[in-house]
Amino acid sequence: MSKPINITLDDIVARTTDLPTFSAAALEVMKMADSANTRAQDIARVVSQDQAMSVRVLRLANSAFYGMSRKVSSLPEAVVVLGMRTVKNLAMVAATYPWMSKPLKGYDLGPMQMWHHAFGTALGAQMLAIKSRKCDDQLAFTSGLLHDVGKVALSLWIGEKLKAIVYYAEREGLTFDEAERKILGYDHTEVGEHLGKNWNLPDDVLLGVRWHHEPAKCEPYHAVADCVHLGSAMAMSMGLGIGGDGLLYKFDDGCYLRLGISPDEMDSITADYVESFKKYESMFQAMAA
Amino acid sequence: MGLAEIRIAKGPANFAFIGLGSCIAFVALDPVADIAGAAHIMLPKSGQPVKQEHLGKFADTAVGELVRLMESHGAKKENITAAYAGGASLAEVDGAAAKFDIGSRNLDAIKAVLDTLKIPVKATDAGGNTGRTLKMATSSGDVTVKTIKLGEAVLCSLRG
Repeated sequence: MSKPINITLDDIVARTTDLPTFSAAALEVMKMADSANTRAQDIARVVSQDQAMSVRVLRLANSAFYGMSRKVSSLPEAVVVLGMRTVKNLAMVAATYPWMSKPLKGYDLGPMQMWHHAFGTALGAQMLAIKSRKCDDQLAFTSGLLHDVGKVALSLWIGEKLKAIVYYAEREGLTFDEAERKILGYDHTEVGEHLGKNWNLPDDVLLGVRWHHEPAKCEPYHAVADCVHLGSAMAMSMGLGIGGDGLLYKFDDGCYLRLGISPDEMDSITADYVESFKKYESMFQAMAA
Repeated sequence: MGLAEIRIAKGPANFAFIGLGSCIAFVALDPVADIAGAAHIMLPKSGQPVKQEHLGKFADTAVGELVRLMESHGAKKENITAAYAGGASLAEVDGAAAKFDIGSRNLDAIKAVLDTLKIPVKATDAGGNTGRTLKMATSSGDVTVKTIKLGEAVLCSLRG
């Protein structure tokens, strides 16, 4: 069990069939966040380059969540009514939902469970970014949404071995990511970073992907790692997309100090967080329709 | 069962709590009146007055509210038995991080409230780092818990 199996990170990405691709239009939208000169209608133009994504963004904009009094019928209109930042987040949701809502057998995640964990982490990371003011909230959202993307690639390779990995981790006193590294040679955060680089995802988005279980190792420090770490911990605690790996991960309490959030505030933040997540569920229904 | 949901049932019903983390799935039954109840508890203590619709969120309010609802439909407190599962934690949540250890704090809180209300607990499957799914069929009274390691197993029956 302790001997690493012999597959490189490149192999994982190259040899995993059914790996999702990341929409070029979504990638462009993501990168537009970095430019101060972005005009509202540029977002609409870029999103509209991907027809499937455009349809989903409009469906989201018209979901019960936003409670529009009349139908939003075009992307430029959606940008005007909802604002540029919201439409950007909706584009990220539209680009990831189709493949993240599928089951991930290797991690014992049923339909929608990976999605609940991804969105729950994105929402938590965004709330913490806003509260701490240590990180752009849109970056925290996107990075949170994609933080476990490595699991999508690793799931097939883990296959039936999940139970054995959990037993191994518990026997050796390891966390699940440590056990992945011992058995596979790398963990889902490294696979996620590798896959994300393949997709040309921005470096700061990848920091949350790579360091969400070990935020203190993010060098140089970036608060996105802490926001995604704590956001993911909130999602796991509230049972949003718990897989076979359960809560077998370390919690780094240094994130409180670095984000300037008092541990005493966490219960009320968590309660608000769950209320907020529940409201978004109407959006997921609109997406699935 | 959704997060913070409280539900009661007279006659046959099924309760399912899919994928619990630190939350607690609490189920109770009065077999004489044939009234069952379930609560999906998220956090230990309310700390301040809680709106009616949020009573299910907290261990210190959810159990009392569930028992009150069961009694208002004819259950008797002395006939009620209960079971619960969940309350898992992330590894190494000690020291300053203990405040975030929602799982252990939930378990402490529910033990305290059940002590106060004098409701006997037939069985629990709680703590550790594992996710759990709890189901209860009120007709048989069987409570099952599913984990990755053990699969689905009967925890106890709240009848007989």
